[in-house]
Amino acid sequence: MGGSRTNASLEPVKPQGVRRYLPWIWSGSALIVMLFVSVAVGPVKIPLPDLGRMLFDLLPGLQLEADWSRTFATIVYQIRLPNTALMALAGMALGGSGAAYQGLFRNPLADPYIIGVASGAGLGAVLAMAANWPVSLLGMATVPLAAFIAALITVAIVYAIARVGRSTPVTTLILAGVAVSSFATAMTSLIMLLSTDELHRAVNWMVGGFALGGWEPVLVSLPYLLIGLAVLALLGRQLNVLQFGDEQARQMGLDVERSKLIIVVAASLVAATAVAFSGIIAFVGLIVPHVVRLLWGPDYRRTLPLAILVGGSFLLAADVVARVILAPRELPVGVITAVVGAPFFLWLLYQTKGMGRVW
Amino acid sequence: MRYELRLERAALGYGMEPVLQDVTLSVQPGEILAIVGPNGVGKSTLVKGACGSLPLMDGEVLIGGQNLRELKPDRRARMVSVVSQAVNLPPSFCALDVVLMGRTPYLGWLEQESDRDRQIAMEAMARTETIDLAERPIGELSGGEQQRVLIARALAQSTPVMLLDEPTAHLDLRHQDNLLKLVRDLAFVDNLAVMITLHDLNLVARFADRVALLSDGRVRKIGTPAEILTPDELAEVYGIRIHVIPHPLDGKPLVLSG
Repeated sequence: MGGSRTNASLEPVKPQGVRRYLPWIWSGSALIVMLFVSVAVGPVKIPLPDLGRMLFDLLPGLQLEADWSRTFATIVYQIRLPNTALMALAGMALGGSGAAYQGLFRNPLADPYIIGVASGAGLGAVLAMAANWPVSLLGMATVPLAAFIAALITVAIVYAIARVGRSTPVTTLILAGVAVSSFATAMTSLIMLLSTDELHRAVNWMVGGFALGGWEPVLVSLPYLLIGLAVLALLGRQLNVLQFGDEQARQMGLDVERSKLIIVVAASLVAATAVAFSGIIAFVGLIVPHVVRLLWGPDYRRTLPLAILVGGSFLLAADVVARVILAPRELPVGVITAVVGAPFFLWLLYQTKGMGRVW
Repeated sequence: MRYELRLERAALGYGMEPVLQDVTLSVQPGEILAIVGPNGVGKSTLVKGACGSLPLMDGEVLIGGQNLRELKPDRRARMVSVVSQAVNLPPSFCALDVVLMGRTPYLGWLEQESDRDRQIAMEAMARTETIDLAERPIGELSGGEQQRVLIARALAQSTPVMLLDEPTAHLDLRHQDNLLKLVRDLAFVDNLAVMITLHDLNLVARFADRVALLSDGRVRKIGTPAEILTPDELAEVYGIRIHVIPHPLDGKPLVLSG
């Protein structure tokens, strides 16, 4: 063979020491910091010592003397904490589903927004709201359920259109996504126009505002998100094998159809839930997995959980910016992610030219 | 247990019309069967059918008497591994990670590779002399190195049958030679049944035990290189004038066009 015989040992190579955990430490602490910043920032200034003690009071086993004002407590416990939690969950859902879609389509430009899943889910959610569906059905929240079903239908349509032979090229994926997404958005607008009393709220919701407040949306969306994100975080090895294409993945013994089905259902479930409660927030699912891959490599067993963590902090950061940049006015978070994300998307598209794939 | 690969009256194709039909052949353990024939005759299709990734339109593929059709994907991948052309590989995975993916058929849904799987992968890399490349992203490797990493991945699958699809397509003379010597060794030492598609008939003459010549959607003839690589046979299949002379060193057939 080329070169001389090597004397390298057969001992398995493993990443050494603390370096291996650095990505987790970084993304974990970033999320904790952003959670705190998000709770701290707002129109009412709450002294940091009070805020810190209010948060510590939440820890089990710790009982602090509640000497802070009732107003502060209401603001923190009933407004800022649930809003922060919902924002973090939405970011985690978008980061995780973006990473999953990119791996699934083997396409760096896939993200719930670009491939139309978000708009599809939005249409489902608005349909459910306009039809005045009961809030819950058999114990499940109907709005996220409708969003989820619409998201699955959308991803199936986009995939069927975008597929050329056995692959999904960048161009057809984006074109199919844009077309399907425009259609879904148009239908959504139509429905909103026909049900005028809800218009204002729906418009706010579409650009990333919240339709509901308080802990209810957090609690309702939590089971969907936990299940979907757990499935995604656990199937990194399957996504790795899928990077070699369906044919090779099959030859390596992966049940390709089943793996893809489970991943697409889980990714669409979390993306749709995020859309149902936080509106359509663009580009988070595009940027976050890219940054994670650039920083920490291509292994989906790491990329997926890390994209979930980083997605949470990224959306929280965007939300904080949205709340302070024109204070006292609050911008919808979707405006900030789009302002950051659109140039990033164009840069990626430029990078992809002539390569077909980025990574 | 003798794990020979047998195709019985197999018909293969993608739409309604089969690309190849009535394919009956067998590969014995320790043997290299080369598949040759003009472009588009269905050599790659035959590989896909023989490993079970393309469902047969008719007939059977048997390995050690076990019908591939009846096996789940992971069981199939424990019987037969495939070395495809090293193109379109996801470039940033390091070579060791790629080889480790050869252990996929032995892992449950939520299972991760064990130290034993790593050991097997490292041994496969040692045998294909890719161990120095273990930490390098495969996108940075040369064509020959990538191809050896894919062979290591197939070895890590620990199968009795290995299929190779044009593994020498993008390699220079020296790397073609080295790669096929490696395949030769693996077939001999591991008693692997090897089926390999090749364009270069002179490589076929040097490295194959038997040759299956495909033309017009069928297996035209199977035999030793000396039996198949004859001017008449090749001229008819490839449609040009062909000369075959004995190699000056070992007397094996040397195929020349013109």
